[in-house]
Amino acid sequence: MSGQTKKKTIIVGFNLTERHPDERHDTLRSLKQSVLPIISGGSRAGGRQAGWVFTGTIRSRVTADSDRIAFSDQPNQDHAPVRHSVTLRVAVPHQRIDVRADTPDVVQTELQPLGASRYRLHVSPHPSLTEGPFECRIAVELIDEDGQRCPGREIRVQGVMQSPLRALPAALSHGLSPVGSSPDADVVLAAATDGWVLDRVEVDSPHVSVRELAADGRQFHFRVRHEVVRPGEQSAQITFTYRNADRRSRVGVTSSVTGETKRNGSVAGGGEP
Amino acid sequence: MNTFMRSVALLAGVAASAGSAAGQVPDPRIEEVFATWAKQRARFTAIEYRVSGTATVPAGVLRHDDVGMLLPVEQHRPTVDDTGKMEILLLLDLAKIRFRREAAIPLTGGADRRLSTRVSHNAFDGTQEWNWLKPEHPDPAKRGRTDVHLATGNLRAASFGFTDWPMFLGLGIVPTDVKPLLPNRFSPDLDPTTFYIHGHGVLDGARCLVIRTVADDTERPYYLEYWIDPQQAGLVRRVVTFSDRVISTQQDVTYAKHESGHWLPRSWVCTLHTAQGKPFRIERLRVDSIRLPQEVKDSDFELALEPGMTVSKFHVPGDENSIVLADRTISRGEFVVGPDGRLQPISGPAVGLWFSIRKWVGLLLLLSLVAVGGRVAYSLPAGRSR
Repeated sequence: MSGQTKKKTIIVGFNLTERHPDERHDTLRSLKQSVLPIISGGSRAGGRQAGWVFTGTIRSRVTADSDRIAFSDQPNQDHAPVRHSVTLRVAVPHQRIDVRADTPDVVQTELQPLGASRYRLHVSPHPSLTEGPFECRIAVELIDEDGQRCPGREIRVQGVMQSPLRALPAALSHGLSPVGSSPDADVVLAAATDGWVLDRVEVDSPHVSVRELAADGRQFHFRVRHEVVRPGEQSAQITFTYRNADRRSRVGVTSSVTGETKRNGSVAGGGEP
Repeated sequence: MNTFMRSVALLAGVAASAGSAAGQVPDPRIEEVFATWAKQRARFTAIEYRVSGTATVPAGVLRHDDVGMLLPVEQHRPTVDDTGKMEILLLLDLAKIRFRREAAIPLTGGADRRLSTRVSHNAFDGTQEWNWLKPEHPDPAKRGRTDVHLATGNLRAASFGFTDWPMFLGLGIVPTDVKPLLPNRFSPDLDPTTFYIHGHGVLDGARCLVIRTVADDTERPYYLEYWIDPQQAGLVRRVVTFSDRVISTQQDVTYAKHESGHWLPRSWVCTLHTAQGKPFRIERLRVDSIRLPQEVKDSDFELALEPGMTVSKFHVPGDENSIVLADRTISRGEFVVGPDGRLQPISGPAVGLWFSIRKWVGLLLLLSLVAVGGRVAYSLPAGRSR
């Protein structure tokens, strides 16, 4: 059989949708891939020189400067709406791009053209969102020159809608304190609208006390004292309940402190500087 | 992801977005805050701090499931509060962006996960970063091959840690997670559109403006919170970092009026938290002295080399958005300090130098891990795209 030539057709396919994370914002990225045929029996066809090197440039339909929008705990009910934005770049001929949230009640979107191939996508949590975590995905689709709808990118959106009253801080960390001491710190609760009245304060620990220092219907100032009763970490949950003319709202604040243990008859750490 | 995990993840060298609000119209109140900090920065050309205090790891806080602890299940360490003394000398040349830092920092280590103090000297002379870590073994045969590392290029691995931040905050120099304090960059160029006003809080009786950075685009969104006291020159009294809304680090700074008339740091408490938000290291530091030198010498920003010391030189490629793995660093050679103080090349196996460089990256990470300056690492984003 030696000396005979047989023709074979080889189809090589590349999945161009996968990319290294470092390249996730790149509109253009290079491709270089070598392919070596293996003849049954284990030998390479034609020795080391046989094979092909595929080179090219991959052009992304749509890239975004971020694939995720994290509102975290920035939005509060009644407060000024929070808006985050990402920039979209299109690297192929197209008529337009569309954006669509998988759950439209979660966010509001606005697409702002910045030129022929760049867009700014503005996203805000929907004002009617209830308190608690929210999440959705925004599909960015490209309408090509033939009117075909092509997948582009997906932007993940997540956050937590807070109550109308924002607590600062939401977590009190008193640090390291000797057992028997009672460190204190202040918490301010602020609403965007007037007319709020404190209904009650609940604390799940007998070692934490809360005292109201000032209130004006919109801002409420408290002092939280945490008695250190044992070595190690101890925490408590404080829940403030407010009401206005038409609703009630609860705000949670944690208070934590670490009690110092004694070593060799003395308190470790040497006290505050 | 806790501080340690974030640092380790950064070794992947992947940068995150600064946040999805960048590019919007900045809040004028944020710009006002930035202007106040800029004025504060303009007041100083050089400063030297001497700082001392303690680091405490509360009893039982280190658990088997904490990254890097490698403790058996249900074994908690330390058995009692573990406290070690800290000392830092920091000389900053703000005009030429140089520094010298001599520190004794207790680090958790060993089979019993107790604190042991590591002494290190660092300097940046305007070109290269000098690094010396006091050998743990008095026997020279058991020491590492290199005494001093000299690095150029991408010095992200040598970022100033959280412990040092207050010494910069007092000068109006405010770092963030994406704009850390680097040996060759003291004044991060902050983008006001990546900050927002979060509200007002009361700290030690002072009404503070609270601003935050926009959460980043990682799986566990990370952001920083700054409490600004208008009564104290608009300086930052508190910095809190959050990972997925859980406190990761918190530092509370007190200031006093220095004899020069400027508000400067007097003391601070840095608390590092586990991924569950429990404090696992509390550093309490006070300023023993502050000097505002009119002149500094070039030699202040170099480490003294003694005959017989070995020196590794290398260049770290890449930009400052990532810590570069040791095997991507570029060797500039190994040297021994001759009797005349000059560096003489050593010819030896390259593997020695590779380990030396790896040690440099490792020890910088180790030193910064105890008090990482904000977020330095990011989780890997999804790879699929079109």
